[in-house]
Formats: sequence, structure tokens, C-alpha cells
Amino acid sequence: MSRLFGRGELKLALLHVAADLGPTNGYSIMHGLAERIGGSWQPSPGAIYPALLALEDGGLLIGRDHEGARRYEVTPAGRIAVAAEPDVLHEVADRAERAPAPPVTVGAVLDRLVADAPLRSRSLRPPQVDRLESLFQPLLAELRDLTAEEAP
Amino acid sequence: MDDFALAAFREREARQILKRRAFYLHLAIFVAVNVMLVGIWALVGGGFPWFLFPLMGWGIGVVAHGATAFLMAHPDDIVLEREQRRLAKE
Repeated sequence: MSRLFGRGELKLALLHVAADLGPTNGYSIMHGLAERIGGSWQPSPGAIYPALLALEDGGLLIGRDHEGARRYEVTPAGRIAVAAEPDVLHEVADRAERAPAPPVTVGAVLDRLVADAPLRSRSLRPPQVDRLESLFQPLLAELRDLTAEEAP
Repeated sequence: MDDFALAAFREREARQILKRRAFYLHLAIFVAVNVMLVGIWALVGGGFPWFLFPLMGWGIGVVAHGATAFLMAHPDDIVLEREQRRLAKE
């Protein structure tokens, strides 16, 4: 990520996305950014959340708790910052397009599939754990066969 | 707590575990190789303790790796840790 974004560009790009989307949560901003940048770039909450916190600290975003999730909204100062750098998303997207695609791993695909599922942090009772594990067993077996066949 | 924040905190914890495991692996290889070198030195009759050169040179690397694994943090991780502490207080 550090190669794709110049100094301060990630925060500015997030601000652009937040301004486009209106009041919304961190996942929406993260996915909105990934969609606009395209290429093989895959953001993660571990990198995006600190940037959102920094934007809040700087008074460019305001975060409000709304039904258990934090919703971010661009402040007037944030809108001025967005207007001052209108091309940042295009510049990063151009860079992403030119960057060579990294090898795709099983973990990356799984992360992408479940990254935005709000179910991730939900607690399970023991019978539900058993049921979930039994659902995943055939999938894991298939995954092992697939990677055994297709491994480079 | 917000799901997005929780995912970020988990990612930070996973990164820390990975960094520490990488250090322990490095340390294990360092110990194994240097024990072997000392063994060779003893087997060939002792004498000048040449094994100290790789031990000390590589040792600096191991100490530096330990410092990055346990003492130094990425700026994003410092921000996340501070936020995690703030949320825990609330």
C-alpha cells in the first residue's frame, strides 16, 4: 500500500470517498475506495481505520455512533481539503492500473469473501459451532483438492 | 464496539503475533547454527574461538530483529493501540 499511496494520499482518498458517499460506515468507505481505485489493491481495516481516526483527529471527518456502528461524515474543513486536491483518486487509480498484480493466495480470496460480513464478530453457541464446522468441512476438502491440482 | 474497529484491532494483533513468531524462528535458527559452529570448533580441537565472529555479527541482527518485534511499532499500530485503550476506558 505504501508504494501505491504517496504521503497523505490515503487519507485524502478516503476523504474523497466519504464525501461522495455521504454519512456511512468504515466498511463502505473502504470498499468505496477499493472500487474507485480498482486494480489488485485490497484494503484492510487495519490500514483504513487508523487513517479514519487521523482524519477525525484533524477535524476533516466526524464520526458518530449509529446503531452499533460508527458513521463518518465529512466536515466543512474536509470538503475544503477535497476541493483543494480534486485529482488524487485518479492519480492513485492510474498508479494501481500500472502496478503489477501480486500472486493471488487462498487466504486473500477468503479474506475478500468474508471481509465485509457483519456476521464475523457474532458469537456462536456450541451446537452452532458444530454446524458451522460441518458446513465448512466439504468446502475445505474441495479447497485442498483444488489447490493440489492448480498449485504452480 | 464497531465491527470495523474490531476488525482493525484483530488485524493489529495478528500482525504482532506474526512478527513475534518470525523473531522466534530467527532466534531458533540462530541458536541451532551457532551451537553447531561451537560443536565444530570443539571437535577440531578448540584453539582460536573463530565461532565468535559469526555469533557476534549475526547476534547484532538477532537483537535488532527482537527490537522490531517487541519494542518498535508501525505508526498505524500505535494509533490502533491508543484507540483500543481509549475505548476500553469508556
